[in-house]
Amino acid sequence: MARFTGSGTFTLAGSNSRIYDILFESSASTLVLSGERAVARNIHVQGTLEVTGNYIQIEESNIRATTWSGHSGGLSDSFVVVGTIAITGARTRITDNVFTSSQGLDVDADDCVIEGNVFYNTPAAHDSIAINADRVLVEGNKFVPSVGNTNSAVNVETGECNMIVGNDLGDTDDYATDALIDTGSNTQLFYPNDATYGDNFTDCGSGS
Amino acid sequence: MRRARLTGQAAVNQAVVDLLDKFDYPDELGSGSPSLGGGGGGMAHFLIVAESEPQQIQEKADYTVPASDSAAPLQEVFDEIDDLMNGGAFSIWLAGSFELDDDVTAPSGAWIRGLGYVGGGET
Repeated sequence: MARFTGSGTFTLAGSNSRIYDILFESSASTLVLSGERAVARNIHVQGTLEVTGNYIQIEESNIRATTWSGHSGGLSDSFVVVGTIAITGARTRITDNVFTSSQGLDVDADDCVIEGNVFYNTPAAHDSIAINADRVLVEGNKFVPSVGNTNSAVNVETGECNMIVGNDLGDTDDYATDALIDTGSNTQLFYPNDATYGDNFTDCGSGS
Repeated sequence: MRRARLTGQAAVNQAVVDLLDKFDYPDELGSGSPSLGGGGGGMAHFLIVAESEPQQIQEKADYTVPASDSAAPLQEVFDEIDDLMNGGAFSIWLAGSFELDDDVTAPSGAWIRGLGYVGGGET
């Protein structure tokens, strides 16, 4: 793994580019992935990661604050700490990652898939997943809230036909608010028999 | 001088040596120039080493770049490689610690691969 220090921005702009085994050590540094179909593997970004290209895949990495505006990309098998991932690119897949003390995932683009992740210790006043989009699938995730601090596991703020199924919310009493919040429309819910989803979950719509 | 007569495996060995002598193999392939891919269409490889690394490592490099204020010299190398490769696919191997004192853009289509750095410990 080679190391970049300093606060400059490193941009990978070309299509089909790759970046492997690089540490961006400074919290002031930025890595920009703007070329289509780029792949990043085993990158450690202590600063900011900006994904602006389409079809970009990030694997087996350690990242912090991330903005993701390209569509049809994916983040998998990675570790997300401290920062948040804000998704504005449609059809993005966030799968099999661990979020530790992260400010969670803001999903502001349609048709995204959030599957198989662990959200551990999401800090005060943050939802682990906040959705303002349509047809987002949130399935098979494990939530371990910071007791008394984490807002909700999933907060469907706006949008329609989102599907929240098969997640493990942990102890719903540990959340500062309800474990699940839904002010969207036609949200579809399904939970195993031994699961629960908080006290005040209302208006799960016609699809529930 | 008359050559001693060889038999068996020794004869085979000598034949191989004689055959290789007919080709003008350089002693150090690629020395002093970028390691352009050979072998019938393989990906081209370039090694960029930061001056944070030991001299023995730097001597293997196609390009060396200062470890401090690295942005401008690194961008110069990237631009040179970009011009040389003209949009093709190629790998750039990076060894060492580079300071991004300014913004840097990698060549189009590059596969950037990190190797390591001295004194960095586990990351």
